[in-house]
Amino acid sequence: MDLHLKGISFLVFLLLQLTAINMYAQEQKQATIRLSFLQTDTTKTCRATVFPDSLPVKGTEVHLYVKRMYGLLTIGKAVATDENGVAEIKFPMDLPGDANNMIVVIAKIERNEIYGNAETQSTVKWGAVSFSESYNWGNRSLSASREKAPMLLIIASVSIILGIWGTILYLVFQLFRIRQSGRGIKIQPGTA
Amino acid sequence: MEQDAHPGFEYHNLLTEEEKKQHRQEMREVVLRPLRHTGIAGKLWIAFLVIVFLFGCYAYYLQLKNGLKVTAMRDYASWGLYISNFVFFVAISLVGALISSVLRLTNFSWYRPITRIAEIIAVSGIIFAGLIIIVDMGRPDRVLNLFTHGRIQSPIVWDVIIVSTYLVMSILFLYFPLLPAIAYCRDTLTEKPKWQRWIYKKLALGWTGSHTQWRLMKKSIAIICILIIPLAISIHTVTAWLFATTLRPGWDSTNFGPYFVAGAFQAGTACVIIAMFVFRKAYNLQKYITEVHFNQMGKLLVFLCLIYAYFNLNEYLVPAYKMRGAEGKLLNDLFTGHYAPLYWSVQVFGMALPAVLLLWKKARKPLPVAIIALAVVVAAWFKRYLIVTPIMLHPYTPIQNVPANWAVYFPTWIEIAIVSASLAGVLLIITVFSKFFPIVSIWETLENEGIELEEMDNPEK
Repeated sequence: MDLHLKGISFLVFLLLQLTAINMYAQEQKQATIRLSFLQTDTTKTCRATVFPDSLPVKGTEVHLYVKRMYGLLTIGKAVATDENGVAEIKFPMDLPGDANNMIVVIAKIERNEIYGNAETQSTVKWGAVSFSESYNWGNRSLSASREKAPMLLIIASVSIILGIWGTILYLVFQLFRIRQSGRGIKIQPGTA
Repeated sequence: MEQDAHPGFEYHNLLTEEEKKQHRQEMREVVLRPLRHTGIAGKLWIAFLVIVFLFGCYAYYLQLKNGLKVTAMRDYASWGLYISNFVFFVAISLVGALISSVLRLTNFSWYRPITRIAEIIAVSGIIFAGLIIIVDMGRPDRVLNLFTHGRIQSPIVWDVIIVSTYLVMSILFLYFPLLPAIAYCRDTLTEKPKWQRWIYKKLALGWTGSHTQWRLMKKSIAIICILIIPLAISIHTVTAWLFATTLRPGWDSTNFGPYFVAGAFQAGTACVIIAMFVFRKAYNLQKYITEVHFNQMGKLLVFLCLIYAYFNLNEYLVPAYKMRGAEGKLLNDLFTGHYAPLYWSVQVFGMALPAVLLLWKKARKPLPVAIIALAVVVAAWFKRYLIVTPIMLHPYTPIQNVPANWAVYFPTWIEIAIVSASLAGVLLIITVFSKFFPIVSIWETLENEGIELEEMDNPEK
């Protein structure tokens, strides 16, 4: 009886181990994302193709992001791949890029039951031109550097600061005068 | 405006020189009594404040060691308890200008015994406003960079300039009228330790009470009185601009400058009422801080509550009529959402109820008016919290792709300890000051009653 129970326990244990190994093997499935970019005169589209084990896969959600200074900017909603493993996501026309108008695009599969997480990134020259001739770069303005502050602001602030601190210095000078006028006079206890 | 002379003004004009001297001596004895002796309650109070302050210093040490991550401030709520507290301190510091300057220039005179209370609140408030800003900095060792690398286009640089200027001016405003009192302490508190007498001697600047010294002092006070009004308005307007120049719902308002100034006068006046009540009771100053002062300050508080209510209407009702986008979400959160209990408590207990209750003369008696003022001050502190925090959490661009706890803000114990220490610090400065110098200005009070100390110091003239 005891031997029989031990045998059953061993079989159950073996079965659980096999199930776990199988699940682990499933989780281990790697997905590869390939990014390509399509552009017409009026549209920009990111195409993400998902290949697990080099075969396209259907119904996997792909999220698209753009790298910004402090984090990732979400582009549209997640799109599921079709029977060819392709997810196409519309890209905004007016997103600014870096100095060379380059944009880093990131495609991600997030917390997928079969493939877990996967991501790829690619750089594309899709940045909208943010430089404007009319902006007068290098001129004095509120948004310019310290050296390029508007002259009117400098004159106004320096005049106010000098006026007030000049008065403060005058008041401190009055304190010296008070001390000076008390010198040589014998202090009578109880004055003041 | 009509001179509202003290009821005793006429009476004191009839006094003989000897009787005037007697009055002066009597007041000196009463006002200097707290300087000579500190009771057990006073010692316990100072010890309590020191403990809270030191605990806050320890919390700040932890913040310096580990960085701002020990606070609850994150990418979105990057301003929290510290900045709320900064705005509160700047607000209460305006009261020195209101009580000592506006009332003086408009020929009122009943305020004279409470000028020093208002001025020391102003000085201690502005000292800790400056310190709490440094506490809010991730790298306080770089504070001097604000002066050496600051852009004059930035409202933060304007704030640094105005806070330091107002601090210096407030200290001068406290110091000039204090000179005769320091001289009297120098001459009479001979039982005090040597170091304390040395301080009195140095600070008194050889005051002898000569006509020249009185003239120089009064002339300087008159200059400060005029200059401190635009400075006081500027300091809180610039503080308001720190917010209003930022494109955020709730702050994107042209009303912000006067709204802040009105709130500051209201909060500061309430602080002075509480301090008057405490000093009157603790230092037995009933003869000099009278029910007349509480009555007048109560009336002033009603007036300031009504002005503040008017600005609140503009600040909340106009955008609420439109309920536009992110602004609408913020207002809904304030009116009926997460912040509603705090928002309505602040509006009712800090503004509406005081304005109504203080219309009755009975409510303007010392104890009731002090309780109402306490409610106003507590509400004023939470009001600043409501001005800062909910708005940080309602940006125009949605909060996304960040950990869930970044979308909420509740201060950590370190922030609470540091802010408590700053409040204790303000109270400590006021308390210690009142143990070193008379908290009621002798010459200003007696002058109000027709007894000119300048003439008494120079009898030959």
